[in-house]
Amino acid sequence: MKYNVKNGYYFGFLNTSIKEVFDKSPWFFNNMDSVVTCLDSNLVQNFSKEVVSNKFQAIKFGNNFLIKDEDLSYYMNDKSLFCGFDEVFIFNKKSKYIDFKASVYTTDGYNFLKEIPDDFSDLFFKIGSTRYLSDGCGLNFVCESYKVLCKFFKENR
Amino acid sequence: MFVDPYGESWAGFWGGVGMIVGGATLAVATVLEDAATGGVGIFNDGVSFVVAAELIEGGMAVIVADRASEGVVDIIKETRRPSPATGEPDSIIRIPDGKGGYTDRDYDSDGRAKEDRDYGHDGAGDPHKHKWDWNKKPPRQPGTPIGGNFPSKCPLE
Repeated sequence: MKYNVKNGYYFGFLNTSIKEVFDKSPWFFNNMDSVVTCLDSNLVQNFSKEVVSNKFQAIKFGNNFLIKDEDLSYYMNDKSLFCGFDEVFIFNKKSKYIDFKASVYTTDGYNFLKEIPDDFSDLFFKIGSTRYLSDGCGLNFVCESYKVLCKFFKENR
Repeated sequence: MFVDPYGESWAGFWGGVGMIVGGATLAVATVLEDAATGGVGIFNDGVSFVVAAELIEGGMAVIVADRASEGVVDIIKETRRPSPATGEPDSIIRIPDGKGGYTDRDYDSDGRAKEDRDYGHDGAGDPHKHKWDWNKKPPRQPGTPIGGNFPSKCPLE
C-alpha cells in the first residue's frame, strides 16, 4: 500500500475510476456532498448556460455541480456522465461548502504518488474538502484518515 | 516517491505477448487461459476478433489496431484498466467506458496519446473528440465536435 501524507491527509493513486469506486465503495460518499468540478476533461465552470439549463440546472451550484449523496446514484449511472477524466471534491455534510473555481488534476497529467501539486493541496485545504477523486488514466484520491485509506485500498486496489 | 502503478500488469503484458495465436481453437483457448490468468494474448483472425469483442462488451478488454498491417487487424486484449496515456506508436486503442460507450484513442509515432474520439456520451456532441497537447498539463483537452467527414462509427466496425 503506497501513499503520501500531507497535513494529516492521505494522497494516492490507484488503477481504477470514480465510477468503479462508487460501485465498490458506496460508503465513501455516504453522508457527503460531492462537488463535481470537471467532467470529461471539461471544467464545469466553463460549461455553457445552454448545457447547464438542459441537463444540470438541478445541481448547478456556483461554479460547480453539487450532488447530494442521495442523488449520486442517479448521476453516477447516467450513461453520459462519469465516463472518465472527471474530478470530484467530497465534503462532509457538516462542513459549509464554499463556492470555488477549480483547476484540473485528472490522471492524464497528475499522479498523487509522484507529486502533490502545491496549488492543488492549497485549494483542497482552503475549501475544507474531506475527500477527493479524479480519474482518466487511473485514479488520484485524497482521504482524511488511515482507517478510511485502508478500507479504500482493500476494496479498490 | 514513485511507484509504477502498472508494474504488475506490464509483467503480465510482456508474458502474454509471447502467446501469438494463429488458429481459432488456439485463440479461444488462449482467451480462456487469459481470463483465468489475467494475461494478454494477440489475435489475428476473425474468430478471435469476435471473442475479443465479447470481452469488450464485458468492459474488460481493449482492442489495438495496428495501422501498419493492411488486411489483418491485430487485436490485443488486456484487462489492464483504466485507459493508458501511452501505447504502441501509430496505433488505435479502444477503451470501453463501462456504460455502453467507448473511446477510440490514437497514439502518435512516439506512442503518446494524440486524439480521443468519444462515442456514447455527450459533452461536445456525440461523438466528439479530445486533442492531447503534451505541452499542457493535463494534456487531454476539452471536447470539441467532430467535424469534416469523420465516420460516426469506428472504421474497424
